[in-house]
Amino acid sequence: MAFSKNEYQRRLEKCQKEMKDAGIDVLLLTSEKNIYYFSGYRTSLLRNSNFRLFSLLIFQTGEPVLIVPNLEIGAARIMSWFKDVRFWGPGGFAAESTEAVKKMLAEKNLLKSTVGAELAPGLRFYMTQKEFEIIGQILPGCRFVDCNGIMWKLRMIKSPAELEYMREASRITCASYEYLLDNVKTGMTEKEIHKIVQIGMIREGCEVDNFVVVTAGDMRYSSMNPWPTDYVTKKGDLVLIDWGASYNGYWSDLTRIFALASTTDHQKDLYQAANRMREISIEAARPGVPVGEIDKAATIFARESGLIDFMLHRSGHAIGLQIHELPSISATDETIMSPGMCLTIEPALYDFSRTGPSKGAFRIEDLVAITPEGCEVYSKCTTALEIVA
Amino acid sequence: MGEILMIFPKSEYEARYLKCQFLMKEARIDVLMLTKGSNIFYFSGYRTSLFSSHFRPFVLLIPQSGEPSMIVPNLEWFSASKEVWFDDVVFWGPGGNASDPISSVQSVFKSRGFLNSVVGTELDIGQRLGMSYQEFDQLKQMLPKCSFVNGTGITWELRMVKSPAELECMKEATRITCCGYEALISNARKGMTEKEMQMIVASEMMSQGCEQEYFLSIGAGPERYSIMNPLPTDYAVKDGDLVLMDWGAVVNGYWSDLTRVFAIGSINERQMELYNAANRIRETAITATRPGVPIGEVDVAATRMAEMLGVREYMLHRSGHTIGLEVHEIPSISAADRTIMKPGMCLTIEPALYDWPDGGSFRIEDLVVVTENGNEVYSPCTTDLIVIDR
Repeated sequence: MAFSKNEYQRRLEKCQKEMKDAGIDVLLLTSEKNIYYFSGYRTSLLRNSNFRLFSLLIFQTGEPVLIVPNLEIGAARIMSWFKDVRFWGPGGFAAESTEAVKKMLAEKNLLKSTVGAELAPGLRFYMTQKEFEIIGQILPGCRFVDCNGIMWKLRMIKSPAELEYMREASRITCASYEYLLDNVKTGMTEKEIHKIVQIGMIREGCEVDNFVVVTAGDMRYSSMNPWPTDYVTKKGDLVLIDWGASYNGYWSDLTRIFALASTTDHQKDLYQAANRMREISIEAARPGVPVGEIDKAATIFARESGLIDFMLHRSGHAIGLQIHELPSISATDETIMSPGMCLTIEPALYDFSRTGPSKGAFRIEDLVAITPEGCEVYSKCTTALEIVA
Repeated sequence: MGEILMIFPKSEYEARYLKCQFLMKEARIDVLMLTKGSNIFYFSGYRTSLFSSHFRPFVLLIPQSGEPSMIVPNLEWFSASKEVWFDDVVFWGPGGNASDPISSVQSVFKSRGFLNSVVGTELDIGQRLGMSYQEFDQLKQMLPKCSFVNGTGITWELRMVKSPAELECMKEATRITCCGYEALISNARKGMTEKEMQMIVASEMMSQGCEQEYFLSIGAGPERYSIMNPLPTDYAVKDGDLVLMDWGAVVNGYWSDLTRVFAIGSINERQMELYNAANRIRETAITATRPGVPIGEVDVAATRMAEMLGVREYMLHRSGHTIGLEVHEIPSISAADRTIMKPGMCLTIEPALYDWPDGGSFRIEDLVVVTENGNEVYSPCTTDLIVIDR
């Protein structure tokens, strides 16, 4: 198990307290990361297949329950700390997954209750719309409300143990950047560069989950999250890598840019401005103030530098078990920063064209954790503009 | 740049599109609203890692006649407009047609005259909607004269049969997957951990051209046999351990999915019997794979062979599934599925035997394509039992 039983117990207790405050009798959680967060159990089947429903129920008091498809029962019992792990399917306590949910609620006398589910944007349930409809029909006495507020409240603040995993994910990512800089050459394709980054992460212990965006050259600067192509890099190209490793389910998310052989003065200027913006944003990351202050600090700098038209998005997002979490680092987000929050800080400048080649995307993204004193940068890799042969 | 970005020629996308519109007419669906990454990619040619972020929905609208429209977040417009074969790509956010995604979608419905439509979308059959429940609810309220029905009957029917170009991608993904196995058995040794094995396989697959997002589960030793999809751990293999690896690479979005079992140092007689039986059952299932016959017959053939060999009690699941842009697709290789096999269908054939809790899991999974004359096995890696001696 990735965490101690005590840690899981604490998460459960915090959750139950939030449920009491919100008047929610039971949580019906079906998403991969919430199941993992509360029980310790995970499986690639939750991602590879949309055909089998996994559900985790948390009650206001007492033991939570994990209900998995029959063949996963061995794994679920070994991997989770729960006392009550059941299965649906042949030989199970219910024949179908939706029936299992009803039977569970009946057992706990909750056929007339308020059920929290993952209904709001940002955290989607792992049911089909049909499955959720069926659950609503077989539980006519239940009222379904969104519980994502509770999920974010708990997952927003990472424990020391979680922070260790976040650190490791960032370390793996940074190590792969060093590996890339040592091995990349002008004339490689985006796909070849992608290979090097992947191998760099894998040899450092990256888990199966990862993402790697590589864009190079003026026809690609304006592509934000594409798959790498066979584009052959040439002298003068900027190469942007936006990538992350996962470790025990926790993500990193970094962006770095390097140049092949040479850069223009305009590109150097924008790069330096984006780097300065990043530094200022990191300085603004500290407990007790709204997270929106980070974005405001970046925006003020951009405005004062005459570069506000090059800012096309907010200054970043929180991260953890998912790459994108709440809060958002945008001026309107008033969530107060607290120690244990993990943020990806990526205020960026873009010189795009809608019709022809662009001049560059200048995004240098770091991962920081809020500490009692301010913040700690977990992404310890160079932010200098490296120029590769 | 366009030629590099589209994975298939425009004519292939147009062919898919026309078939789709034909099926929509039959099903009396006016507009297909696709929100799931694999469906959007299949019909448009566009994909983004943002598909797996739950914060921004992506929508592709296919009308019964006429061109499609796609709605993306503003910053994705640049990629999307370059990567798709059609013209109408709309965005929400600064400079867009609305400030939020749902209003943007409603706006397109309005401007395209779809306000009174029967809308098919991903409600059912192994497809999760690519927007939250609340967003979908909001959209339904903003489109009161539309009715929403399940549209995945159409998307599955189209995706079920792979074109020659798609099959090339499946073949390449499978080749890469097999290279991973070869690298592993050439390097595995006693004392190696599951995580080290993952590193060897994954590195090799990446070197061979695997895209991001591969999958891999690996379980070694008696304490791990009864875990179905075990994630790699620091467990170090020792003499007598069986190692089961279930993994796949992905190329141009197309998946492979194989399973192999090998032994460390030695294997006992009972395990060897079950391994050989599983292999024979697999071969029987492959022989039963041919066009014109219900796919369930593959499972029936496997089950019969298991009965003949006296190992039926060790079978715990169906004989496999189909695969393509997702690892698990339909039809299912189970006796009850009477879908008629057609050339171009891709099956992962994995009738398996399990001697739980600690005797072993014997699953040898191959990727097999239905052809005009029968089938072709795409997975060239050995199914002989390998015993690692080093």
